[in-house]
Amino acid sequence: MAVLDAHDENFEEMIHAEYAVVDFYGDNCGACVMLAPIFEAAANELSFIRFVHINVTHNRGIADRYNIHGVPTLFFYRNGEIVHRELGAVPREKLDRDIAKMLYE
Amino acid sequence: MKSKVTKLYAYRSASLPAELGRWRIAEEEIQERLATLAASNSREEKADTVAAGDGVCCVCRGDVSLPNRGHVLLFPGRGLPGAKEAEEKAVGKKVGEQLETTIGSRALTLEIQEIRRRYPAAIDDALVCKAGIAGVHTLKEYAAWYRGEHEPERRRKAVGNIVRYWMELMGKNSVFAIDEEEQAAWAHETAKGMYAHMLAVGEDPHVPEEGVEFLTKEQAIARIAKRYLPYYQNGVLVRAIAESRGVHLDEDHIARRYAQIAEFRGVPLAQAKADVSEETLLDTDYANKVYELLSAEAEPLLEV
Repeated sequence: MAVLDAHDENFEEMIHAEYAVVDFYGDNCGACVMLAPIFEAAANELSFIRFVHINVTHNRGIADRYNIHGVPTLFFYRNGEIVHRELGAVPREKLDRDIAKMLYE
Repeated sequence: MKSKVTKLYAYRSASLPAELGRWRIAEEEIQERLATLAASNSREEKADTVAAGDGVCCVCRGDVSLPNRGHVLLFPGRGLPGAKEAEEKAVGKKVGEQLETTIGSRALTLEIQEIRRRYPAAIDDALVCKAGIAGVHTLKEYAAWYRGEHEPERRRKAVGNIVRYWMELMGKNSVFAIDEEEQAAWAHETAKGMYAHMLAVGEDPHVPEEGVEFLTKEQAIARIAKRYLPYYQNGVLVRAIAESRGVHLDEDHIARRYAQIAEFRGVPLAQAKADVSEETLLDTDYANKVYELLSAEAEPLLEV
């Protein structure tokens, strides 16, 4: 499934899933550009998990609410609860490890 | 400047690694992007029997389950850490069938509830239309658009890589006569600017690397200066290259630049002069000028 685009108003609704992964990214962020295709590939391969991204440069409310001080930041949710977070671009192997942590630990 | 380069390395005599000049986007990269676009537009269908590549949604049967989870997801073929055994055992099972496996330290009985299989969209003109890019309606137009979007930046980076390569060669192979007093003064001046910058961005330069006693302002500047000392040689090199090309930034240039800085920052001229030392200003401008000159030399060496 394609990555879903969230914003301040629909964010809570977007993460309302059994399993969700969120990429908080920003403008003028090279690491975010690096992460984007990795995140997109994971979203395309893993059914049943909701992949969401949100631009915090344009959605400051969410950035403040979740204390996002650096981008990209990944949040891993289970039933709406954050179970893991990761700061910075990660390679696919690391993203898979983080997803496994959300699913199986 | 008292420090000099007594022998400037002839960087053009060194052969240039071919990869530094490459900037054109290969057809393979465009095909990869199209494959991703096809995957993003894939359709999902329910399947009866698990195959590698499927998404499998299971429920726990029996006494043991994973805490706080209604469903256990498996992705055969993905090899997700902790679930490899379960992924392998799931292949070939049908909806409603069960498998015994261990995830983490838990022995689980999983029942397959739903299987989803993905079918990527065909890579054709209809696919690129779905991308919603203005003026892009065919695969050929997509390739042209992709190259137009990314190749200018790749070209700039390739030029930058060649210039950096030359600068490194010159740094390593030129002969320098460094005036240590001047070097120390430069590092101190640069450190003063960095000290003010750190305070402005909320980073405390007084925090000690060891122990608990905070550094004084002088100690903090001295520590930063020590860090900057090795970079002094770059400035000397830049000036030598500029000189070898007949570039001289005179008093008029300095006056013009201070006026620009004052206008840009909205401060009086005297404040701009107090904020940015003449040495720092010249370091920056000589570096930019040299980069510009070497970039012009690098351009013809890029792949055609």
